[in-house]
Amino acid sequence: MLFNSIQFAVFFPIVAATYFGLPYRCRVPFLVFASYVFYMAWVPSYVFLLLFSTFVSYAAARGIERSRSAGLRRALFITGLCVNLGILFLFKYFNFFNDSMQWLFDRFSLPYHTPDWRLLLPVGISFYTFQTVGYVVDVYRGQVPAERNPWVFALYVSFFPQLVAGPIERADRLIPQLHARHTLDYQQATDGLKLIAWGLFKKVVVADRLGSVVAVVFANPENHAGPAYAVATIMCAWQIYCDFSGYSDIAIGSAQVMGVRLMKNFERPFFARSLPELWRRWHISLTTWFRDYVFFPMGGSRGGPVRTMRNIIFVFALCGLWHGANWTFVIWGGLTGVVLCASMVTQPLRRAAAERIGLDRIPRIHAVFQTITTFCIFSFVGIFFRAHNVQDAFTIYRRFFTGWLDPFQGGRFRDFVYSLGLTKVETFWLCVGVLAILIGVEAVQQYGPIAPRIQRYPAWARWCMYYAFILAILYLGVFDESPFVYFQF
Amino acid sequence: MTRRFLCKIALLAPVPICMVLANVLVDPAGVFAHREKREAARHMLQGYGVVAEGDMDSRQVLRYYVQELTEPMDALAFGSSRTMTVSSVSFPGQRFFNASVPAATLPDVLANYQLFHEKGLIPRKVIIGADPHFFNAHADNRLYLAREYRRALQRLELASFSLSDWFMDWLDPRYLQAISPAYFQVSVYALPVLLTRGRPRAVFIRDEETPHKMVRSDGSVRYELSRRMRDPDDVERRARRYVLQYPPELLHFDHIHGNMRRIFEAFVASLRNDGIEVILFLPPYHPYVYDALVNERSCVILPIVEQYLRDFAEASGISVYGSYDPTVCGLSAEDFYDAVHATPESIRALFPNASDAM
Repeated sequence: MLFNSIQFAVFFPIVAATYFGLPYRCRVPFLVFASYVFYMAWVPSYVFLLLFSTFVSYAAARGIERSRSAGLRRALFITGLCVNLGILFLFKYFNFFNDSMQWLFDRFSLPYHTPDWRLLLPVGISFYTFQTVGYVVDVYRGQVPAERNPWVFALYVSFFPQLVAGPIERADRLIPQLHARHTLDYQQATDGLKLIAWGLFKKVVVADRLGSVVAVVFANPENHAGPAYAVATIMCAWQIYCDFSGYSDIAIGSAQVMGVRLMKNFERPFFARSLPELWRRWHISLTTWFRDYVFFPMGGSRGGPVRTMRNIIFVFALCGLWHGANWTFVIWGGLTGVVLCASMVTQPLRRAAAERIGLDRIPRIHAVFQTITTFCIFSFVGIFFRAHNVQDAFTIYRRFFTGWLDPFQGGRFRDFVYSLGLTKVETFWLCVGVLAILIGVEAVQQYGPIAPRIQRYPAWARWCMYYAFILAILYLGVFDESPFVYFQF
Repeated sequence: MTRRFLCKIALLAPVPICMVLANVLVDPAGVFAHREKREAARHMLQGYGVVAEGDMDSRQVLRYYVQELTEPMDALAFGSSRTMTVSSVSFPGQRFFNASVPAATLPDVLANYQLFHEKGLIPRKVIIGADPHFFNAHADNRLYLAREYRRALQRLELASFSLSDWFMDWLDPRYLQAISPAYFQVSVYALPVLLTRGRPRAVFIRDEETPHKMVRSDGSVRYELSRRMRDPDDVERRARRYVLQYPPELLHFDHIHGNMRRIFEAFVASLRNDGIEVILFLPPYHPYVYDALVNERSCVILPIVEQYLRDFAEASGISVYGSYDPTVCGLSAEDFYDAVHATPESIRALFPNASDAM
């Protein structure tokens, strides 16, 4: 059930109203039921996988907590990890691993026989698996107590707003909230609804509009030149951001209406002035997960610069693999790690260069320059993220630097727009317009949240704004129920 | 607290109300104008052609047509607009109906055939206008006759249960259209026309000589005069633009999707089990379009799909008419109205033995 579907528009109000109408003791079981119904809207049989993962993590954590023997605790911990990661490997990475091995063996003309299981990727498996793995690790480390109530634990794993695409929540944040008795809080509920509306705007008005251009250009790597790739690469970065942060906003808003505060997943990352800062503001729940459960256990930045860089590159390559079972994602992750390391190494040089040319004396211009440069590097590396395969990515990189002297390839601007898959020049300007609105709003948000500012206006003005905003979504949005990009992960 | 919240929610009510009113009252595709579509279906059965100024939901017209139909046809054609020009002229002496609908996908073909099947109106011959995008999993597969499609899949034992599908089956598609933001956008766009020129009405005529687009009584389409009289330069320009924009239905289409292929083969097998003769029709592309797509834009899937269909047809003993490649069927640029639609005369030439095959 997609957040931008009519089913969800019916499902959510019914669930929220029933939730507040039920006695407290029935609420958690009801939300578990609703979450499972939500999940079963895709492939119903995969609900058993969710149940299995829930059961194993619950039992492992309870066993770890109750056991007095260190060996048994360790065995239960490893079992919990292996089962959860095993499910992830089997359903998400087995075919990728198999295909890669097949390719390798073929290169050396060696026989390689493994059953070719073409399993359908269960929606959200990467998200709920990471959530359960994080929980088992936290219990093993003694950072959180094992949850005794199976309903609460089942809800922790399956809470529908964040089940299929995060944010990846931590047990110490979410479980206490699931135990709490929530009443309908007017301010919280209306703020949640506003966040849902803003998330919808990002998804259906910005992401899906830009997505059509991105899809056309990236589908034909051989047929475009640099200017088309530049436009598509910029749009691609914004599309992915708006798609995923839009989803996160709807998830956070939906949970907020029911009184549950989910963690923030994005913090206007494209306003970051350096790549490390951008990554601290991008998919926060995932980057902090990797930081706490992979980077720190590997030694983090404690073992000197070379070891730190090795850890960064490894963690980002792993992060890339998490995004998808494809070498494009692994390369994208590894490349991001390399670029981050380069950013750290060159920081003193860049600072010296800014001082030398006097850029540091005009901090605003300097900030804009840094922001644009950071965005361009992120988008350029992101070509690997969006390309269908490694060959396509290299083709795009090769062609990226062609055709700049004749940006419209001898044609008119209209032909250039057509080559982006758009039927009208106006549609191109509409894409630019909605993107400008988004950037404008985010620029204002840099100086503080917008909601309190709107609150200062008289009621009639506020409501005019609300109506205009909702009508703008309805009129400018793309309503073909495009799935969210991160669903495939 | 709750009352205050509900009051605020109630203040939002004008938005969905406006949307529903616009969708129902403007109704640019005539989704709610059932009387008109029923009329159109009845007139078609009586031998009249339908000239509709605005868009007329041809899937709904087809539904009513089948409801009113009492005798099975000898031959039925299913496909997209590229097949809609196939007319009864190609099937002399036979009761022929073209059940193609614009922008059809494979699910549309199954759903449309299901209408006839459920009423027991089994034809003797079925012509499937197999567009390449039928096998593209990424093609827009939004369905208008979703219930019929689900029932078709159940009949072919290919249906899998999903709560979303169940929900959509249960809900009347008209209600969905009333609350559809996409339809709202079209309604807002059509509102000025409605206010200035009034609601376009369908006209039922027997005479073919009309400058407007007409759906004949056999379901085939006769395009408007402006399209029929297009000069070759205009057609060429449209063909170039089509290639430049890259057809969305061919996006991400690099292999024949296994599931679509399974559905297609099961559908054809079920037709043959019912004793129906199946003919595959491969609608040709404009020469420039085919050449540019295959040779310049690496759209090699077109010959791949054609080869698959030919191999499948040969293995199953099915006749194949036409080809995506216009040079194979001897067509030139003059035989096209635009990038993808061939003239009825050239289409007719692709069905030389249709009557003999009967």
